[in-house]
Amino acid sequence: MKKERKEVSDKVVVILLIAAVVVSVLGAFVVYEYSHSYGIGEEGQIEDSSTGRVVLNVVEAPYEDFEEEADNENFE
Amino acid sequence: MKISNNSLVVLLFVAIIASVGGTFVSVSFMDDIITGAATTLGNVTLTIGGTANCDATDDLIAFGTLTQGGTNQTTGDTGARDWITIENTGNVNLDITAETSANLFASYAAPTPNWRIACNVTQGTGSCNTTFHNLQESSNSTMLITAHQFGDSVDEVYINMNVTIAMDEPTGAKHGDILFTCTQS
Repeated sequence: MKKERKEVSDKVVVILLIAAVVVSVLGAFVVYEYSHSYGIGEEGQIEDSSTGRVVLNVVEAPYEDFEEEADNENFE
Repeated sequence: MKISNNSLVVLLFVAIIASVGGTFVSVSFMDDIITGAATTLGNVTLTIGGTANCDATDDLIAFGTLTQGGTNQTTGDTGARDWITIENTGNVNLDITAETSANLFASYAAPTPNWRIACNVTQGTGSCNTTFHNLQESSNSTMLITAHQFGDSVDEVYINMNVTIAMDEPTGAKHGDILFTCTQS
């Protein structure tokens, strides 16, 4: 007479499913941490920039004074 | 077709074993890069990536007061000696260009001979372009130095400016900004 196999309960299946998900996520995390600590996949920066500034103060050229002096000399 | 719980359990065990095995394979593959964890003589092989970095450690030139029609520059015996200093803070040689990011004068926008730039001198052996050039806009930036080095005591380059005030430039305080772009040589 053939012996009937005992069916696993739904609860056990759910627990195993959760365990599978946890193991999968942990595995992915471990791989990420290893690759990160070794710098795998990180590329160096090939360009950077910086800024500079020029400041000055512009004042009027003293042309009017020269003209006034010239006028005065001509007047004298 | 209905799948029995027994079949599901078998499949889940297979999934867990595959996941753990895949993780070990991945980590073992990466372990090939670095060896020596369990030996008295370590052997580490690694590659340091090149990084282009620069910093204007002295980013300001102050010419003071200039009259309309006047000129001044940051080189020569009589000019202001207030250079812009750019330091190579990365670990690769750099080509450095300059362009305006804010015009200095209201009367003339870049490029103009009223606002010019040149490389003064470098601590290292890079090729320093000491000829004054009109500062350009971004479409045609000026190359100041090529192969500017990164080691200590050779990583600074000094930048000159030359300004000429147009007769029709309005009086008052002015400022112009320069963007230095540092690219790996």
